[in-house]
Amino acid sequence: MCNEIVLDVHELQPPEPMEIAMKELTALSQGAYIKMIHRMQPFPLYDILLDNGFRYKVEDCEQGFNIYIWKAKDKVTNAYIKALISV
Amino acid sequence: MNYTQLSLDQAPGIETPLRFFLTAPLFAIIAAILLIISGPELLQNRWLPETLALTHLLTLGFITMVMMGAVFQMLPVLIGSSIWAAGMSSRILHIFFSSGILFFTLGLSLSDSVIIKIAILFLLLSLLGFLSLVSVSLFKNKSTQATAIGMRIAVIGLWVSVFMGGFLAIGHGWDSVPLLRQFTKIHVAWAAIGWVSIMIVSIAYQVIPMFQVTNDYPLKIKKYFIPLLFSCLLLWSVVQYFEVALDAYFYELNSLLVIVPGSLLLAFVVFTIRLQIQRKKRLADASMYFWISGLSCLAISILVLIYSVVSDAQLSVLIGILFFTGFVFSVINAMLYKIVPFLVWLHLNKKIAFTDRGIADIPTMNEVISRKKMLYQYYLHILALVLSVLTFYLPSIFFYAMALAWLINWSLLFIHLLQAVKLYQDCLKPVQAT
Repeated sequence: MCNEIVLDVHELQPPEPMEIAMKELTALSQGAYIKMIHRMQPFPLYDILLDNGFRYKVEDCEQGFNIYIWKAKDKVTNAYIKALISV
Repeated sequence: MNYTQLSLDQAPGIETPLRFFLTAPLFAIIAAILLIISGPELLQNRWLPETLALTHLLTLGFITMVMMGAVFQMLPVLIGSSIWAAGMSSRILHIFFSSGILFFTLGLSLSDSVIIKIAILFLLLSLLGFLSLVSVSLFKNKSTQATAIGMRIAVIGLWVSVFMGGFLAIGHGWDSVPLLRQFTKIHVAWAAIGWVSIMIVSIAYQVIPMFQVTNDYPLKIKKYFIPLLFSCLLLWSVVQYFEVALDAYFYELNSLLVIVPGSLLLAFVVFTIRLQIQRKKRLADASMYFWISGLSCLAISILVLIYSVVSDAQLSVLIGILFFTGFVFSVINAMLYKIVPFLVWLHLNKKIAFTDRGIADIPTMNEVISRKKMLYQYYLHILALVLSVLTFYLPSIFFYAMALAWLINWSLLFIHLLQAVKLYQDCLKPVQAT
């Protein structure tokens, strides 16, 4: 079981969603992942994620998109998210 | 549906858009200085060389300069389509385009035909270069979303406007080529509606719901509005071309083809303002005030245009003031105040957030240019705008106050953008030192 950090930012005004995400990202530990609920896809964030050793997956949801973010080296969380999203 | 690793690694470096954004206010400042030097007669006759220099300093030097930077920045982010060698091509384009505008102003002010010819060459090369790069990128991209379609149409608008402008400019510069002044109307309409307005509407479809947390525009508006507007512009141009042949029918057709697209644009304004009023979060900032003021000026300029067509009144200078300074400058200012702080914040995060320094050293987006500073400049902008309208009626009284207000306004905008870039550099310094 991995630790899920939910960031429901879908009603927030920019720049808050990105600022909140960055704060959580820099503190993210092994065995934990972020589930960001956003009304749109935060494309600029994806750049930062890929450049800094994170992985992400996106799925549609009622509010827009669920964006799952975890550390690329974190194999346990990687497997957990794969199982979680394919269900 | 799952999306995995949708990478947008194609977004350009921060210097690509910033070089355009920071140059634009400088040309506006030169325009204000030209106003002060030339005096009120500048606004009496649109064919005066200084008047032509002024209008192009503002439309090319300010408006198109910002829009070029925005296109380089936004194509990858908004529709996932990059521009070939964005870093290098933007640098070359920027040098050619800036030189072209400077030479054009200098050549017209000094009535020096050699400098004007060099300017035309630089301007055409850079504009056609920009158009080619953007067209390839946009038409290769298969996106069917409204913003992508709108941007493609806007680029067609700029192609037509540049061709018409090129013809006119060559007619001015070379004695052997006839100067076909009747094309001016078409050149201006394609620049104002085909390029600027359609581009702003395309971007609005995305940035208004995104930045102002409003509901989305309805699908029907996104699907039909721009193609309808574009069709009206096309028909209107055909009618202008056959003005003599159409004889008695010209007046009716011309009026119809101004009233219909005018009403469409009015509906767009009303709809956008309604979205903004109904939005969930009501934290208005300077950018939002700029948008609402800009849209209101667009609505007023359309009403004045329709009135002038129906009553045959000579109000083109007033319409120009309301449309360009009221609508376009306001919206551009609004976008600069959103994009520049965002870019500074984003690129600082990319460079610093995951180093030992962490995010503590990174200013928030609202700290990059403070709300207060933006509001001060907004008030100055409105003052300059009101003085511009008053100058139309009482030039001898308000002209210099108006010119001075614009000079201070654009200087302040430039200083704010410059401070944002300085902040970016200062934040990076300790990293570079280690």
